[in-house]
Amino acid sequence: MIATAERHDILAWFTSTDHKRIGILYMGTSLLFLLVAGLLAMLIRTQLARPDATLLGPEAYNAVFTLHGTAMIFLVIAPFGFGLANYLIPLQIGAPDMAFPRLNATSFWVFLFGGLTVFAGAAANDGGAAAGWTAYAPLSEITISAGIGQDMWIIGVAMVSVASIAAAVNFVTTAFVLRAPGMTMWRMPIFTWEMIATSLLVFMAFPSLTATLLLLFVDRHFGGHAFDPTYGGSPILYQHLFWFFGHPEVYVMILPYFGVISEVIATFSGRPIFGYTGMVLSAFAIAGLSMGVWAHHMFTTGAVNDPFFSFVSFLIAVPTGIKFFNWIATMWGGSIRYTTAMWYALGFLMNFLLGGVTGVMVASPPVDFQARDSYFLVAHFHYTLGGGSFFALFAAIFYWWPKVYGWFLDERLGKIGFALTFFGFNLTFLPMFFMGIFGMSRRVFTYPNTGALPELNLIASCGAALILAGAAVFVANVIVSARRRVPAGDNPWHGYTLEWATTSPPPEHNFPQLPPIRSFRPLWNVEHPEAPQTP
Amino acid sequence: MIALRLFLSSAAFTAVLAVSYWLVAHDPAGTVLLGFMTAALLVIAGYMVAAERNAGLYADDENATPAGARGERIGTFVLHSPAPFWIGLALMGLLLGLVVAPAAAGLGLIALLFLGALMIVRSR
Repeated sequence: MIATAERHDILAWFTSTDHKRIGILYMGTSLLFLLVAGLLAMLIRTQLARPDATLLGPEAYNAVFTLHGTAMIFLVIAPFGFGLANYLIPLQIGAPDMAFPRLNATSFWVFLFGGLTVFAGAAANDGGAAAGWTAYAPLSEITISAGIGQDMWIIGVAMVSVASIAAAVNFVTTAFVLRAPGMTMWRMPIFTWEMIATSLLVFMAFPSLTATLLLLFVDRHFGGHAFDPTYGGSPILYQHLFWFFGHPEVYVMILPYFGVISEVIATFSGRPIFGYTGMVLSAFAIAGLSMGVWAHHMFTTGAVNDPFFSFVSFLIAVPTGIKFFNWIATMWGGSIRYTTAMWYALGFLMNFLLGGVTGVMVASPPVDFQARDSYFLVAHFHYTLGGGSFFALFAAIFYWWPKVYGWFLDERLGKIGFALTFFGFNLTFLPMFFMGIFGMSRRVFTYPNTGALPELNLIASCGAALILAGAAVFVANVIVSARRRVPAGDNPWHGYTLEWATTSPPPEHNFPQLPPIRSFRPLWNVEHPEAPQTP
Repeated sequence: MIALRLFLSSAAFTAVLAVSYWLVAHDPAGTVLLGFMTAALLVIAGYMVAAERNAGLYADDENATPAGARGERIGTFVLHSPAPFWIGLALMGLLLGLVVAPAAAGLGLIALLFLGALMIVRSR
């Protein structure tokens, strides 16, 4: 192994190709984008708190929810998972770095500039992008959305797409060829496996997004008419191409967090993950099946085969159920430690269950026809991606923070933050199921002052304020803990995967010395050399 | 090799999906998308078959030890490079330039080509 000397000045953050620094940059940037996207969500909920509110007009409201959705999906949830993977994959498999360090850094900077382009577009003189995070054509065509804001949205998201593909190449290559001696594929931690499945999805889905955005750009500026029906183009083709990316993207946003939950639950239950092989295979089953369900987002177009997509969508519940039962079986009979990370993992289980079950409901075309474009769908996908990924994201922060920085986040403040976030989340999104059932449409800046809609919306907005309070407690936690800097040691949670074998924070090139690797819990084997070895 | 099997089985799955989708839906758009996906996975699998000829991964030996692999050359891992930051900036300049200023797009393209070449040369 040949290494060049590490720099330690501020410029180092701009030139670093060390996977740990890039991981921190990815995660830090995602959290900053999350802050902005969260404040945009507060604007939305303030506007909707009352039916006659005038905080946002219809155009501004469209721009705000477009930016909120775009940021959460393209710039927060998936990139934070990539940041975690950047930091953790080499550590979990005993590698000195990612396989392509320069490409890794390039992925991050292209992602960052792409994200900044999206946000800068919102400040364009003639208005930001307002066609939703899906940017459906012809709404996003130049005849309807003429402003430069929509162009900057297309450019920014395309850059994020390219960056994601480059990152996925790095993850897969690293996991395949840079494993430490003895770290066979079937000894890799679940998180690393989940990232391989995620990367496969990125390979298959993101080129479709890049191509779609390129076609849209050509439509807008070079006289193409791919999606313009007046010239024989097809808006339905746009939907096919977009959702061929869009549905797998849901799993790009959730599979890394399945990995997080597997690690957190196993550690804090004091047991190996139940059904290791089943967990790995179910990740690939989910990834494979998710490539065949894109048109369940298009049931109501009348242009797709509803039974086919409905059937495959139902099938995804099977491997997801396997994971769910395995998590419960891991906890069953374990010595559970209720740390903040574990609370967030339990919150994930409860929220994601509700999101998943309602997902099965809307996979049925008759239900989907009723729920389409209503707040029922808004509640469903926020329970999967907000209640699921978002809670797992915080579980990951509390679990790996001591490894990254060498000191603990405050557990008491962490639990207060969790309680506020959990109750706030359910107060916000549970009423939305009923709003949808009562007929409230999504993407509208106001609603009729009838029935229970005003009360339900007010409750949801109060819940959003609680989530904001939870976020404030988290920020306070970071500040307070940074002042105290309670040392964590190398393995504060008694974890058994390889990242806990090195110092906190890890040194350049990660491991002064590697332990022998004889199972997917190598540190357990080190502690119990006399015990029979698991695979 | 598990990695190769992974891509081959994924390709087989998507091929089955593409054929069954065509038989059920007769939709050319979706079938072509699934077909492309199968082809892409086969390209990766094919590359792996070619690359595997020279690969002897010590990690796949269940009884391998870190001590046994000491001194093995596994690659070059640089810790800093200014190129990635400028590549990100140049790509943004190129794409935004297409909309706001063609000259900026030209500059972005030149910078991108230069930085790309630099990175390739430095990687050798």
